[in-house]
Amino acid sequence: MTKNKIIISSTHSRLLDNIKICSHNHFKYIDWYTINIDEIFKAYDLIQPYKICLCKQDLDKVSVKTFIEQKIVEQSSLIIDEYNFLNIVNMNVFKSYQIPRINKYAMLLDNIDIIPKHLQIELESDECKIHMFNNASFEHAYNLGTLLEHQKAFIFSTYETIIGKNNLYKNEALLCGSKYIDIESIDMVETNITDQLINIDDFIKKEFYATE
Amino acid sequence: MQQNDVGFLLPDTRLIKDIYLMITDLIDKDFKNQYVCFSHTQQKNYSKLGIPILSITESKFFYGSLFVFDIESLVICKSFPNVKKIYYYMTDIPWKKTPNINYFDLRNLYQENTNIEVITKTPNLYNVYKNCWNKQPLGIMEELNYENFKRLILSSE
Repeated sequence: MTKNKIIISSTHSRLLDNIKICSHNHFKYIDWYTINIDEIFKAYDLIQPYKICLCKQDLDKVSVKTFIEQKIVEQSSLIIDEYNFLNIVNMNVFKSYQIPRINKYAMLLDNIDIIPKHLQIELESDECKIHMFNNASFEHAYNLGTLLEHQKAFIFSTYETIIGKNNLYKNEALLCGSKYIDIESIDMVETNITDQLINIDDFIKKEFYATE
Repeated sequence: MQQNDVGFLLPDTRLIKDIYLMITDLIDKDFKNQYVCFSHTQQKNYSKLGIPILSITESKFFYGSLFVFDIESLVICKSFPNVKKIYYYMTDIPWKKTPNINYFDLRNLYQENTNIEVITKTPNLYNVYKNCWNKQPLGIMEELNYENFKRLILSSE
């Protein structure tokens, strides 16, 4: 049984959050843990996981660096959530819900700390149509808090256009039927999915069950 | 307007002097309604004004409309069983200070709770609230005084 267990880091990550949802819904025999990443040694000793899911930000932590450098784990047992995983989408959650779109723009602030000037002007207007989400350290009148994965699907289904950075959430937004704009080039409106998408269920099957 | 009991949950801010002056005027000029304050501290400075002041714990059992001035009071009293309506006097943007709170918790409080009416201190706050929550505040009250209270609250009851 211990072979199937995974560690999930404490840092927020799009991929890891979706693995949690799928583990809960479809893969009941995968256990996941949200640990304090500084205690990765202790957690590894206790759980003896088969796969360890880390996100990119965690790699800078001393404890994680040491953990990897000492080769306690095989490199192949690490899954690192990077932006090249953008085509892995939770299609069970992100789909068309046919809800009326009552709001205009939702800006997902993951990894955005500075708002470009052209958007700042809009945010200062009396008739601002932009709502911002998902950056717990960004204090702004139009930052309306954080979102869980299924809540993001609700946002993508009730806003006409999603604004993101580096194509993060582009595929999720398009699957839910909204338009997508990159924060740096707001004139480029994307409406069609061009990437070859992989359902996260298939990703989990491949990563966690292929070797069994 | 029918007779109504109106309670004020007193904040720990500079507003308190204006609130007391407004309630004194309300008691003098508005004979239809009854007014009471709830405070968690002894209000020695204002005890001679003739305003009934009760302990804040009594507010839980209050029948009538409640007027609150900070987000902590709003969160506490939104679950009070007997409160007819809550008026929240918004002097700043409370969700701006807590960007780590889940959006749906904020939405439940500011948008979906039909029992809560928001009155903003400035036109800018009015616009921000309206734009964020797709819901019109009751109005703008730049100064807390009897005239403004009569215009916004007594006329809407």
